[in-house]
Amino acid sequence: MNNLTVAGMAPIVERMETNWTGIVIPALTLTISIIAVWAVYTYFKKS
Amino acid sequence: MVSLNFLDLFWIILYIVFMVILTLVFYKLAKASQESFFLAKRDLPWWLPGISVYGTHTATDTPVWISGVIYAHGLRGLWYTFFSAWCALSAFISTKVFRRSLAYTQSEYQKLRFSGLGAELLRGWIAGWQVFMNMFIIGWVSIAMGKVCEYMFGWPIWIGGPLFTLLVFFYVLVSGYWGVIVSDLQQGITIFAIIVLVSIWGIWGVGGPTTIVNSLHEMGESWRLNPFHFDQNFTVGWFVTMLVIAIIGGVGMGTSIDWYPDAQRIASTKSIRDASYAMWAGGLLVVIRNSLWAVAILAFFVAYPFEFSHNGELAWYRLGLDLLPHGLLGFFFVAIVAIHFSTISSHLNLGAMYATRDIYHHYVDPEADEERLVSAARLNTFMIFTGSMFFSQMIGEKITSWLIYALWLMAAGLWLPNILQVIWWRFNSWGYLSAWIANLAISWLIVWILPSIGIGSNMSQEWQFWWAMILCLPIYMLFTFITKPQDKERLAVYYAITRPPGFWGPIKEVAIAKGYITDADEAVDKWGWRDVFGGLCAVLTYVFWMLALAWILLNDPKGWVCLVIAIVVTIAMFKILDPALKKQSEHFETKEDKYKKLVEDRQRWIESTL
Repeated sequence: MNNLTVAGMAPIVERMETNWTGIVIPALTLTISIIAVWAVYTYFKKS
Repeated sequence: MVSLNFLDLFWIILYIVFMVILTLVFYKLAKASQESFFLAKRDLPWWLPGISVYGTHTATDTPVWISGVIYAHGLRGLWYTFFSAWCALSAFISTKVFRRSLAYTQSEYQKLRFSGLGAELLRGWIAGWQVFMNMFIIGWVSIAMGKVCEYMFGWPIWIGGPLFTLLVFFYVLVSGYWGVIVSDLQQGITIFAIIVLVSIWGIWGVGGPTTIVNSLHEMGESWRLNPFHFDQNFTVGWFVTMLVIAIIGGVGMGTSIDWYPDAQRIASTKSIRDASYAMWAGGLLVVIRNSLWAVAILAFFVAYPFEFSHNGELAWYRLGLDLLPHGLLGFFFVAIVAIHFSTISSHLNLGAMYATRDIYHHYVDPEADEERLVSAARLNTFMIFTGSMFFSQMIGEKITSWLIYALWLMAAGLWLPNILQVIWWRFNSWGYLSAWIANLAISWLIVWILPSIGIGSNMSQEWQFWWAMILCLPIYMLFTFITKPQDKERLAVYYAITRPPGFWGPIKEVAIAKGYITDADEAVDKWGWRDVFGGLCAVLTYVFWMLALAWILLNDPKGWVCLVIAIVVTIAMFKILDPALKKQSEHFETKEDKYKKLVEDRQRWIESTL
């Protein structure tokens, strides 16, 4: 058994560097969810 | 502590603003009536409540306890998470019965299924219990959120949970169930995107499927790759117990703690067919999610093999928090907030529905108009929120042990009565009420009291479950047979509306004699072998989609075989069940207004019949 702790743990894997995915994926998901909610609102407002 | 940069904070603030604002636009729809505030006018297509079922089954504490069982058991831990499989049979049995009953809540259903004083006692009891349970659930989910915020920002636990729960409270107060269902839609999209993203990112972050498999072999831990690895820590008895509880439990109502929020989704669908597909699809998404998580947590185990004793319950969270690049890190935190919002909003509205429909409207003010009922609904939302904050302080940090107790054991003695109320006409309110009381006493006895004095302290969980069931059985059967059956004419009305499967012969005869059921009804609604084969296919869809995804993610060829079987049984299920579901839905809609009037009359203590 090793004696690693959460605070002092030597990282086996490291955080990836900032890249385009940090902009494109959140933006795309937010856009899709806003369109979906607005479509639902429009449908029920008219029905 | 996790450091966020500008891009992370930008996404967090933008998403939270949109999550709250988009629900507020439903204010006008929510205030129209009690039915609109709690059931969205019973007008939802299957995919909206289906996504909501999935969103509600995904709470901030879910990855915490799934990480716990996968870390302890490897892929066989998937069977612990398989309790969602009750949705497979329920979708085509108890879901249909509940949707047809036109009850808002499980307590209101008691008044339709049973009659007399026993029915009222059951209704009041279940309503009170649900008000308590929803506060309790919000409390424990808030604690899980508090733990995440503690890890990320170093905040004390009592700050992170209540802070985000307060935001949810505002939109549920304003928009009721519309806010819940619509926020579940946008949150469902966000949550699923991040679960896929983080899990795949985590798997590749440690070197991909081959590295995971090879590392586990080198570590002497290859048994973790086998979902059917049995030993003294995972016995065949426990495996069979879990499958029976989960799968057969779908025949009944309330055999899972998730039934109660899901019943609200069932009631809010626009048809029986929509209700069935909402439940089947929502449960399937949960099973697929579990596979994604399981493989990601195996990846975490390979990276940090000995860390469970320190902080293993946060394995999945740490994959996202430790690996993702900035921007996606903020997006990951957004998904955590979305998961929290989705669960809290469901239980706030659900608790308020029991307090309003079953307690206030039925017992305090049966003549209340719609405006007053919506005001009561909002006041009760506030009451549930306040109570839950009290519970969150009481529960503390022992989330996993509380959850296992609540999910499995507290309901053990009730499991069979929950099925009997659906399938057996002779089971009466006194039998069911005695089962509730006996179960509470016997579960506490088996799980807490006897072990504390050295009796049965080494009893395994499956035996705890079976003992609770066996000890409760003679009690409720005795009470059922020493008391009178329910009034047959009232039962015939219930039977004609809901058409339950099972042992209803004497009641069916009365219903036919009274003219409540015609030959045309019988031709459409009769149960048969079609339902048996269709139900079997529904269960198999869950099993094979779950195994297929887990094995494919680990690059195991067995996954592709399972995928082919999964596709075949899914198609077979639709071919077998869908034509009948369509006919039943259309036929029921021709009578729905008449049935609804009867249900509303009984809500206001007016005795009417068909």
